[in-house]
Amino acid sequence: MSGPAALLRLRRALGRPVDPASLRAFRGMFGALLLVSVIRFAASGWIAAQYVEPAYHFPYWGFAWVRAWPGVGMYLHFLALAGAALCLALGLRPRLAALACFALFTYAELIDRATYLNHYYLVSVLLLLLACIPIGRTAPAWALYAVRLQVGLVYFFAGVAKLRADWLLDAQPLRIWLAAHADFPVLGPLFARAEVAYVMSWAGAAFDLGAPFLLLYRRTRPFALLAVLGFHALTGALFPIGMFPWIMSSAALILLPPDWPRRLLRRLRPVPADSSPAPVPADISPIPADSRPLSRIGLAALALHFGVQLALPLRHHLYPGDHGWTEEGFRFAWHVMLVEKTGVVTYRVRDPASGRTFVVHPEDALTVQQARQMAFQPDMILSYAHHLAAGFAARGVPDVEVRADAFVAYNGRPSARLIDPNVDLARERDGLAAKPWILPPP
Amino acid sequence: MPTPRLTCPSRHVLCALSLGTLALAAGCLEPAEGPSRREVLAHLADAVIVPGQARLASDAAALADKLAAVCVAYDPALHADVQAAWRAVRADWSVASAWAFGPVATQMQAGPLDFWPVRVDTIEAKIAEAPAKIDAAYIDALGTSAKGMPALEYLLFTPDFLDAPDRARRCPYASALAADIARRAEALSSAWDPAYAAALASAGDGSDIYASEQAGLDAVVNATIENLYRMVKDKLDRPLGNLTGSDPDPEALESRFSGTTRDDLEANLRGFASVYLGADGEPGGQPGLGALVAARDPALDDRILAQHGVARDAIASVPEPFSKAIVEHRGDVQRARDEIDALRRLIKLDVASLLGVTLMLSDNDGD
Repeated sequence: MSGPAALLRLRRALGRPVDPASLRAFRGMFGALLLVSVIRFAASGWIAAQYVEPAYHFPYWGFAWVRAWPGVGMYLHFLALAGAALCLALGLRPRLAALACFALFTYAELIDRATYLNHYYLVSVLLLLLACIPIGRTAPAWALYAVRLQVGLVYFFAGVAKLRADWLLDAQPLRIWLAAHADFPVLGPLFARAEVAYVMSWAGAAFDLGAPFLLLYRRTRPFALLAVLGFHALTGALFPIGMFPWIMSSAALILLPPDWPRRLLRRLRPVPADSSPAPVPADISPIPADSRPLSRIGLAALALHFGVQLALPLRHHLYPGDHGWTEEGFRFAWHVMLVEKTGVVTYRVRDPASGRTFVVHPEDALTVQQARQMAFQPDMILSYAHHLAAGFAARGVPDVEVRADAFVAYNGRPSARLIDPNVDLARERDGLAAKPWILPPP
Repeated sequence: MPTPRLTCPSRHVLCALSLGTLALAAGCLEPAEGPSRREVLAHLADAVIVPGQARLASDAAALADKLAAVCVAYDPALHADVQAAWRAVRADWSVASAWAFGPVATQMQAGPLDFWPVRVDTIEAKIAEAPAKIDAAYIDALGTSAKGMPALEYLLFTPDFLDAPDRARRCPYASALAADIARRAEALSSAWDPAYAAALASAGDGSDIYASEQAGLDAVVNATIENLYRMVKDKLDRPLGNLTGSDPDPEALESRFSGTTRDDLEANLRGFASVYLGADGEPGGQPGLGALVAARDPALDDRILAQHGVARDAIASVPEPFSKAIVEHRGDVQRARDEIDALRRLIKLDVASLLGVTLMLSDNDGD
């Protein structure tokens, strides 16, 4: 088959109509979960804590223009997000609602690096997909495959990320985390034992690597589904990961046959035998002759999206050193539950003109969340060094030198210096290039 | 022969069997080495914190009684006795700084009891405008800068405290401050014993404050870290001039009127030691935090004990008076600061990481 013919066949296969039931169910559940997340976020006081109270936000490189709204702006922002999430859950103008959710949610997440969570990033990516996929009486196969692939990539790369010595050979950080739950009902005494941490580490890696495939395969599906629900229930009970287990549990359902909601409804509410069957294909079926192929632009957009989704989790290989320590290429890569890190950072600011040196404890000017996050993330330590330099300049002390005494404990290793204390961070530029002033791990 | 198909009831039976096996395994396992978190929390609550708070309350009551008597007799011979009583209260409070969580936070007692640097002008103004008979309500209504241990220290350690022309105004004011300190110390002690101590000791087992053992441990470790942080930043960085890039400022020292700055720092470290080593202060003895550390990472325990010794020696090596040393022997004071900071790092980084402690008790989601 020639290249253009194969491409046309691929586009027709991707354009083939499929049962939209699972996509519709996913969209509804996702909208509902987003709404619950926003309500929970507001009720916990986190709008104020994360966006209103901080005097300083840690901007993402290239996104310094994304700022928290003044006054009641952030409350209105989240109110609008809640409204859009409700529309998404109810299926009212769902693509527009998903687009609004994507823009509002992603904007909020881009304000401050201290708020980064893997599942927040997942929410943004899934919202982007939901804004793009048409779901009517049928849905094009590419829509189903795109969501499935996206969810599958999360599991898969989360599993790949666990194929490292810390996880497999030292059972870290699970050994630390599980031991902290020795009073967990029934299973607590098990958690205190190192061998259990090893078993769970290996099982966790195998689970992440295999879950998407086992959910797609009919024979293993029931067991895989039980494992998925059990795994997320356990991690949700053990670790403070908020809505992540709910989001992943509902997202995993997209890997089931696309008519699963219909079958579930039929089981819950049996219909007479002569009632009409679903008028759309239930699963993979031969490509109809009149199947409308996916447009070339659509195919290119899909390829671009998933090219990025494949590249981001692998980009850490472009950086030297252990990315769990340096954090270079760590975000947006599904490096989930991979590190236990705590840090302490103190800055020494020197005015070369007067020779005076100031000690700055950043926790005094940051929120608890910001102080905790920035203390072990080199790019945030750099951002704050620039902020300090700008602050001194604004007070009439230009061109100060800023050095950091930053120490980090990482996955059970003895604490060690993270940053070269002799490097003037005020002169170092932020960006995607490797940061040579990060010291090697102990 | 056809392979028998696993039916649903069989699956349920298998699931039940698996869960039962897990539960049995969990129940039959030997406990991990060393004391449990619950034992440590119970020991700290009952053998360290409750007695520590009781000592503070008792010494504060004794100070109040002595000062009340002095203000009747105006006998200069009793002046030293009252000063010694203040020092005892100050030492108790400095030791208790190592577990400054729970009632001291919920009752917001830290400000009214320990506001410093002292604002002399504010205290003098309040003395001047005080009514002839000063009652508890009057002191209660005062701002934090006009009362508490540092304000009382300023009055008691003025050489002519009992000979001053306006002693009839100063002494009752000081006496009322002492009575206020005693009331607050008693309120803290009563809150700890028995209710809060029981809540900490039963963390994760019906405690109405700490839902898990880990939550109780988080509170203890975070208070320990905060104690060391305050020593570094407020008690040493600030008077050293490190925060402002300026010369050392003896007036920013804690307990500068009594000259007990070094005593306070040493007491802070004693408080740390009692939490880390347990009530007997001996490695390998009673179950403090260190017992948990030693059971999991003996090398780290050794490092902490060694660093504690280094920090203690560094403080002890600062020549008295501290207010002079901070100017003339700045390097010694800076070294003491750096060694305390190194101890803080070991607790905040290595111990917190080893024990899975959630630092600073933020309730945000992770990962």
